[in-house]
Amino acid sequence: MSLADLCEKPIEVQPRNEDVENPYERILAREVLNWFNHSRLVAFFHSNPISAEDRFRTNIMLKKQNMYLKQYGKKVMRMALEDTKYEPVLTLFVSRNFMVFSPELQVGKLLKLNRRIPQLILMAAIVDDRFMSVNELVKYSNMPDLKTAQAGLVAVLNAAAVQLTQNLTHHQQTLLGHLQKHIELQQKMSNEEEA
Amino acid sequence: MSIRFSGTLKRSAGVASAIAKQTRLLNLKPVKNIVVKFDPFNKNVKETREFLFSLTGSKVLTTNISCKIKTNILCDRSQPSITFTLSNNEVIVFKSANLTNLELLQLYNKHITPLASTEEPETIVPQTKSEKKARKKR
Repeated sequence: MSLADLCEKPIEVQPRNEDVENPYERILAREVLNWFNHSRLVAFFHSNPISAEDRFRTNIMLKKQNMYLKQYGKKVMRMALEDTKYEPVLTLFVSRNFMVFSPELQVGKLLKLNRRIPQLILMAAIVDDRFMSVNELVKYSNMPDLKTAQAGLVAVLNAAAVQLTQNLTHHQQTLLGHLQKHIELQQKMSNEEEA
Repeated sequence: MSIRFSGTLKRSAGVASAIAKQTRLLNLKPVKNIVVKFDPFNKNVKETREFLFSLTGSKVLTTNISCKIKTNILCDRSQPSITFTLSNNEVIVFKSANLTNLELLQLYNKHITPLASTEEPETIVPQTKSEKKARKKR
């Protein structure tokens, strides 16, 4: 480089070489996508500084409930989830994150765990392919299960007919009640007389 | 005939070391209660989350064990904020939508950390042997 070039040409900043692909990252990305596809519940936590001992204890607590704690970097997550249906999840991946995967659906237990582990803060979760915020998770956990809801629906549908029959047979029912009480009283008196 | 020196003698070591310096200066003693509110789906939340991470480091937490740090996850896409309730019942709110982690730490160290040094440190004067003996005799 001549002196004229050195003085006048601006120094070109060498761009960072990110083109070198790491095959381990690709393996991890495949693993992440596999976890996403085979778990009914995926929870996303913001992580505050957590010691390895606390992390180990959390891992044990979760494994007892059939939940698995995982942590992956932003690059691996982007590689795994870009161009898939899970792409909106990437907006959460800012600062430090943990994920909990579970093949069962136990939203109530997840919320309890959130309270028990102070360093992990629940942000959102995917429940049966539905991306939910914390409010929605709380609502979901408070809802009764499907059978109870169906029983409630049946009760509501039959309510009008039940009310009608009650109104019609009201007097007969009260008469029946009084007669039964009368019989019981008489039996009691006859027992006392025998004794 | 030479011109007077202008410029810096030392070069800045970068954002990371600036953040590390501010984190070392952090003192939670004047604070009773911290509430950090953010919506994880808001775009401006990165720096607030990093600040929360800095605040909950083990060394920072040991400066005041009785300080309670609570995080509220919002679901209405509102802007993030950090509320400090001091031990003298003053309330300071940082609206952190457009502030970086470093700026938040600097603001904290500018306004709240000086309040920690105004408390007088307890001076424990060690007893001499003769004083201890005199005490025992009593």
